[in-house]
Parts: sequence; C-alpha cells; structure tokens
Amino acid sequence: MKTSIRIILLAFLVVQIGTSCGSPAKVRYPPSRWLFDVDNQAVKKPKESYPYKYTDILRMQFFHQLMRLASYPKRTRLGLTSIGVAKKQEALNVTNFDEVPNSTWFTNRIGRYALSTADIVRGPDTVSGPQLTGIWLIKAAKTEGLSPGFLIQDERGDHYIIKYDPQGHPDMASGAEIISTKFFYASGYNVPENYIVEFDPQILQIADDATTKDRYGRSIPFEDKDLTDVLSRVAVNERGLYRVLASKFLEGEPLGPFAFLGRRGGDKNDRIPHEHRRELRGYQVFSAWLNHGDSRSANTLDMFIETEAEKGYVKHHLIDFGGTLGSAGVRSKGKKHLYDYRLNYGRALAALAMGGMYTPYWEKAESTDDPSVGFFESELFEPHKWKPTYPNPAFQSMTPRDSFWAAKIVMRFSDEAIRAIVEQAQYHKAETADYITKHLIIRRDKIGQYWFSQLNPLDKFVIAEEAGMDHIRFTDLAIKYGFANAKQTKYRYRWRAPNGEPIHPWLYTRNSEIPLDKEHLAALQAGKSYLLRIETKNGLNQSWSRAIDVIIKIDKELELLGLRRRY
Amino acid sequence: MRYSKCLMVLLALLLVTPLSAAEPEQESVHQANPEGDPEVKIKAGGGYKAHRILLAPFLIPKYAIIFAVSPLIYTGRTIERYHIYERVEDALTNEDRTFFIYPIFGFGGGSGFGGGVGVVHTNLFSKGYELRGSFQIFTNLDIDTGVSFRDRKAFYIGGVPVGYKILAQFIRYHDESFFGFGNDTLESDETEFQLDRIRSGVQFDHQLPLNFHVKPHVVYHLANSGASSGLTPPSSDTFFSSAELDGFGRSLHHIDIGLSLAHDTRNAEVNPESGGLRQFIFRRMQGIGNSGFDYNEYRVEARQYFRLWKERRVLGVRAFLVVQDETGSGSVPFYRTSTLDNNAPLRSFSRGRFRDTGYYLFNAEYRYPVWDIIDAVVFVDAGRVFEDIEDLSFKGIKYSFGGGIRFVSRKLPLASLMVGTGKEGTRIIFSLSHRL
Repeated sequence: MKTSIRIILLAFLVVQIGTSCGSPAKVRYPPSRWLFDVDNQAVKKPKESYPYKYTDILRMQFFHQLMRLASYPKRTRLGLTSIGVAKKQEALNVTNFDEVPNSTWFTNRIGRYALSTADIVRGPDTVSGPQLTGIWLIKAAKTEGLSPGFLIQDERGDHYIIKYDPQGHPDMASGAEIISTKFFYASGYNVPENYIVEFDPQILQIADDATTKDRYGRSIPFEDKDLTDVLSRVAVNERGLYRVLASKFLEGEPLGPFAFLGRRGGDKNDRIPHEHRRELRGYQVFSAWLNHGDSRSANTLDMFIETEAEKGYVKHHLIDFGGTLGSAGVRSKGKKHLYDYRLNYGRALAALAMGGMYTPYWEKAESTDDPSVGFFESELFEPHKWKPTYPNPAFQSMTPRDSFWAAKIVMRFSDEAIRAIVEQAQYHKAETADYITKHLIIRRDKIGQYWFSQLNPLDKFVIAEEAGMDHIRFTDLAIKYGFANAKQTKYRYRWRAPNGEPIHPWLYTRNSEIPLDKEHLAALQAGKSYLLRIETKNGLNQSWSRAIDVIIKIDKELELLGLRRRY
Repeated sequence: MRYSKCLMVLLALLLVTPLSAAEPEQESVHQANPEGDPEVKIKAGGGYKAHRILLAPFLIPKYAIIFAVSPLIYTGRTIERYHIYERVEDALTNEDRTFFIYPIFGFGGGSGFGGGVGVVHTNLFSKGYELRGSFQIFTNLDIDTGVSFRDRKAFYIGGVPVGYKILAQFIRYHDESFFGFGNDTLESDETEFQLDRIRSGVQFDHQLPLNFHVKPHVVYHLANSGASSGLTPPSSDTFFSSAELDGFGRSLHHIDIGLSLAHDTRNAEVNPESGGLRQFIFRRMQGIGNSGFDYNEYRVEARQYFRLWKERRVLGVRAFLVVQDETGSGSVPFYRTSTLDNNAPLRSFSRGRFRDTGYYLFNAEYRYPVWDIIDAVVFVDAGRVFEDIEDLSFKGIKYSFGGGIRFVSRKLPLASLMVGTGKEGTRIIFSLSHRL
C-alpha cells in the first residue's frame, strides 16, 4: 500500500476515534424541552425574492438531483460514514430533547399544549372575516398562485385575497384551504387567516386605481370586464350569493417566498440552511397527511416586520392550501402521480427495466365521486412513500427523527378535533365532511403507526421521586395511541458511561418508568453526565427497537439534560 | 515533497476541524419571549461545518455541477422573471395562435448538425387553409427548404370533402452515400455524390366510407447529380463505372403521376394503439425531354397495431414492399433506386446503404410507457433489396435490432433516440418522426 494512502486512512481513523471518543453525553443547549430561538432581532430589510415557478421546478427536479448524486458520499450512511467522516445530516435547530424551539418559523402549539377544540378551530383567526356590510373595494387582481381571484379592502380597511372554487367542484378548494390552514396553524406553522365567506356581488366596487397584470407582468387597469370574467367562473348558490375563500393580508411587508434550500441572503437572523430546519423537513409529514403536493417554495411567503426605523425581522409563512386534500386548486386531483413526483426517476427506470410490466402503485387508487372532495383516499396512502409534485430539498433531507417529531404532532389531533376542523369548511353536504374526516383519521393513524415504528416511541421523560427512589418516567406513544398493547410491551435499559461503554447488563421492566437504583447510581461519578439507554419491544417490531439514550447529569439531584433517538 | 506537504495539511485539517466543531457552544440569552422559555441563538454547528470541510475533496463533482448549471438557472430565472417566453411567443405567433414561426434543429443523417426556421399558418384567410414553409441548412451546407399549401375541404364529392396539397421543395445534399447495387455490397465501398432536387406538384385526398382513402398526385421533379467534393469517402464516379451510375452528372426531369389507395383503421395517426393501415401506391415516373427513362413504382404496405394487456403497451408490425419496373429503354436513375437504410427503417445500417430496384422490409416494435411523455421501444427490422421481383428470397436478409426511447405528446411525435445493432455495427439514430 502506498504511503500516501496509508496516511489518508490513518487520518480518517484518527477522525473516527476523535469523534467517537468525544463525550456523547454533551449537549449544546440549556436542559429544557422548549426553547426560544432569538431569530427576531432587528436587522436591515433583506432583498425581496421572486416567486419562480418553472425555474424552481427545473432546479429541484433536475439540477438539485444531480448535485445530490454528486454529493453522494456526504448523504449516504455507507462509504465514508463507516469510517466516521460522513453522516446523514440531522436537523440543526432542535433542542436537547429533539424538539423545535419557537422561532419566526414555528411556534409550538398542539405539540406542547393541550389545546381545546375551540382553540384548534379558531386557528389564526383574529376577526370573523371580511365585513359583509358596506362595499368591498377591489384593489387588484390576484395573479399569483393556482387559482385567480382579486384583492379587496372591506369597510374596516382590512385587505383580503378572494379566491373561489373551480367550476363543477363546489366547496372543494376553499374547503381544503380552510381545513389545512387550521391544521398547519395548530401544528405550529405561520399561516394566513382564511375565511369562508358568502357575499352578494352588489357589494363589489372596483377602485379607481385597481390593477391587474398583463402577460408580461406589467400593471394595467382592472376593468369591469375583468371582474365579469372572474365572476363568470364562480358558482352562485340558491340565495344568489357567491361562496369564496377570503385570505387576510399578512402583517408586514412581503419579501416573496422562502426557499427550501439554503438561506435568505441579507437576513442575519436566518442562520440555518432551510433544508436542515426540523420544521421544514417535518413539513413533509404534515403535507403527506393533508396531501399537500403543492408544498413548494412558491406557496410560502416571508413578511418583514418592522420593529424600529428601517429595521425588523422576517417572519416565515406557509400560504395557499387550495391544492391540498382532494383538490388541485383549479381542478380535482387525479390518480395519476398521486403521492408521487411528476417525474420519479426511480419509477421511470423501473418502468424501463420491466418492459411494460411495471405499474405504479398509485394507478390503483380509488376515490369518491363527490366533486366537493376531489380525489382523496387513504387506502393506498403510505406516509414514507408520499411525495410532492416535485422534489423538495428539505423533504429529501428528512431523517426518521424529523418525521418522528412531526408524527408526534399529527397524532395530537384527536378524532373530535379533526371532525371539528373539517366542519369549518362548511361543506354543503354532510357526507363530504364525513368522508374527509374519515380519511384524515385513517391517514393520521398510518402516519403514527409507521413513524413510531421507525424509532423508539418513548417521549416526555421526567425524573420523579417515589418512595425515596428516583424514577425515570416516560410516555410510550405507541401504547398511548393504541398501536401497541401495554401487556405485550416491555423495556430494557442500562447505564452507559460517557465513552459509550455499558456499566451493567440489561435490566428489564414492563412499566413505563425505570427505577434508578441507588446501587447503580453509586457507581456513577457525581458531576458527570451519563446515558441511560432504553430499548422497547412491542407489537410494532418483533425485535428490540432502536435505542433512545436519555442524558442524565448525576449530582445531588438528578438532572435530565436531553435525549438522543437512535436509528 | 509537494504531495507530502499537501497530505500534512490535509491531516492537520482532519484533526483540527472535528474537534473544534465538537466543542459545545455556550449560547447567550438575548431577549424575552412570551412563553418565558430559555432563549438561545440557534446556529449551524455541531459538526455540520466540520463535515463540510472534511468532505470538500469529495464534493468537487458537486461544485463542478453548480458551476455548470448556474448560468442555466440564471438564464431560466431571467426568462421567467421578465416573461421572455411570453414575449417571444407573442412575437412569433398571432393572437389566435394559428400562425407560428419556429426554429428547426437538425441532427445527423449524413448532413451533420443544422438548423433553420419554419412557419406554419393553420387558418389562412380564416378559411382553414394551411400554409407551411421551412428552411434548413446544415454544417456541410446541405439545404432543405420547402413550402406547401393545403385546403382540406376544397370541394365535395358525394358529400365527402376532397382536399388538396400543393407543394414545392428544394433539397441539396453534398454527401449522399452510394455503395453500389444489390444486397451484397460492402460497407467499405462507400462513395459519395452530390444531389440537387426540385419537386413541385399537387396531391389530392378523398376520404371514402369505411376508412378508405384515395390520394392521386401529380408532381414534377428535376434532379441534378454530380461528383462530391470530398476525398474520403471518394466520389462515386471515381469508384463505380458510368454504367452503374445511370443519370450521374446530368439534369433529369420527370413527372410523377400516381395514386394511393389506403384503408386506415388506426385509432390515431400518432402513436396508434389499435387498428391498422393497408396501403397501395402506384407511381408512374415519366422522363421528360432527353431524360431517357420511365418506370412504374409499386409500393405495398401493411401495418397493424395490437394493444396488449394495458394502455400504451403496444405491439406494432409492418410489412413493406417496393418494386420498380422499368418500362422504357433507360434505367432508373441510380439515385432514384429503392433505398434500404436507417430511414426505411433498417436501423443499424447507414444512410443509402442498400440500393436496387426493389426491397422488402419487416418491422416489429414493442413500445411501453416509461413516463408521461416517454415511451421505450424494442424493435427488430429485417429486409433486403432485390433487382427483380422473381429474385425475392430470404437469402442474405439483413437484420437489425435494438431499442430506445421516444418522446411523444398526444398529437405530435416529438423525437426518438434509438440504438440499433446489426452485422455492420451499432448505430445511434435520432429522429423527429416515427415510421411505425
């Protein structure tokens, strides 16, 4: 072997030893499950970004995939990973307890608090929608997004974007948008206030300076014929009213969409590459649940909130959910490419290799013929197979920890909460709401069942003292949500030294609490941090699950520093 | 020495970066928050930067791609942001989108790369007339230009519309291939000649009941062949005798009068999945002036398409026969003899590979979907040329087989890329049309 190769291998070996011998019990942040990321400091306003649609597809579908291929050594768990150089990049904005800090991107809501059904259905709403008395002054046409519409100002002076359902699909897009708004908000994302409104066309009045855009993006006057054109595509109900979705303008100054790759230039608060943000990776799980295939950059919006003269911070929003559930915005979804990229290289290669024998699984999908639903089902839905219409770098970076985190939040929505949210869509047929509720519940359970089986489903660790002895108590999410039977579940645990060496053999228990025997604690050095490794065996897996390491500081009082979910 | 220094630096880098990155960062508390949670300034770290540095050597291909695609992304964004596509579209079409000016890109076929421009109007004078024109020029200065006018409903016979198409075309090929006549010519005997052709005429189309079509035509042809300017392959006249090159170096005029009878039950003209096409074409080639030749040409074609177990899984078969029958004293001009080559298609054989006064050809293709607009194709071609219909046999039949992909839309064949292999090697064929 050449000397140079020997030196390189030696270097990798040293790195491996160096990284593996570092204390695994060290943590980066204060020992709190919930943190606040100070990313709202006053900074200069960043440049506005343009909502590229086609170039984004080109970039994500082709160029980014080429780059992923070229950076294979970094991504893979094989190859360089085995010698300790490369590893799959975990999300960078997580607390020691694998939770997401509150920030300008995300606010822990249902994942943290026991929200009441009333809180959940209220969502982001601060008013009851646009004022229906007085006139609606049309200020401009809505030219972005899937469905056209217009921008109005009501008598209160509030601004709304008015969107409507496609012909032949009453309630479909507006219903989907309302439902998804409530779910995303309760989950923790920043979303606009969306309202279902029925209005009399008599209240519409075109402002003198109202504009629309021509084919070249130039502003031109919004005229009567433009309004007639829009209204001609809106169904009128039996009371002569139009049902539309009114989306309230977000607070601040729009800066255009955020990207799912890299950071926004010029924003000093934006410190984490977006593809490595936990909430954007986990967005895949929520999008899968709500069938949000259009979860792309163009459907996001950054707003600049000014806090002092010419300075402020950027708040990041998800917008435009008209393409969720069974709706594709301007039409119903179809079975073609359901749950899949429009161009899936793997499937195309499989189809090429199998000589016409290959049938994508989504071709077998069936849905109701209810036009208010569109195409929505749960039978073929598999959480890990779901993909948006084209690749999203944050989704592609998602690891089981990210999906586990998101699945925990998804599972927090009870059947009652789901039904209550669906009712907010005000479908004109009760069967529509029943159908959507039923399939959302099934999809939710599939998400929980799948992602909880990928990691050790233990959560909410606390140290409690009972009968003079400390215990580690936890919640087994698989049991809590009925995926595993408590009687068939058992746990094994053992202390590990900071260098990873087990201190004693496995000990077993069937309870969701682990006694911290004084005998074992006595063997641990005070002032140091140790790992308590726990594995689970339940109905989800035949063998022992992946481990979860609970990091505990040994002192006069035991202190929980954090945890690491292994996979 | 230089290498060892590099390795030392790399070693130092490897040793230092992970350790520094592994150091926990003490985060500072900045400002209050509504929940009263501990405040931190979350930053990338914890090995992220370290791994990026460590992996830099392995990421060279990635940065090479970034370097290569950045201009493309920038261009795409410029096009999108400034609505350049819409501006170009509006500049090259009319408001009704019945008139288009479009670019043409040509590849291979002996002419090298080329390009040109085409125009089409599908509703001229708002009467449904169709006007098409194109001009292409290639790197070897070959030229292909033409214009046509079509009225699909010029008049009615028995309540059925009769259409006509008037066309004019000029083609200049500098490097047409000629290997001699017959089925046993050698690939190494390739020669080249120059050919200029002008044709102009009219073709009628009368659709009869039960999917029958009658298409009579009258076309005037002028052709002028001569020596090629290249040395390799040599000019045809330096390798073959003048007896084998009837019409070489002369301007020949003739009238092509003929009739096509077709029974077309295909479910679509483009990418048919069922039905078939049975076609008989008779052409009388009558030399004019001192051209000194006249002959009849008969073409018989049968195609059938079978949809297999599922949509877009199609087996297509085709049988094709051409016979040229000399009726006067002169022979068929060498460049007008029946040609069996990759255009026939006998894929894997070069352009102009086999010539004689007739050939037969069998094609079978199985195509299946790979993606929305891409079909995969597996094919087998077999055929041979012959001098006389009485010589028809399977002896020395030429085969090619292979596969490829073709891009299809609902209405238009966009392009295909095939790889054919046979006794004379493997050939990649890019085409903008499908024969089967």
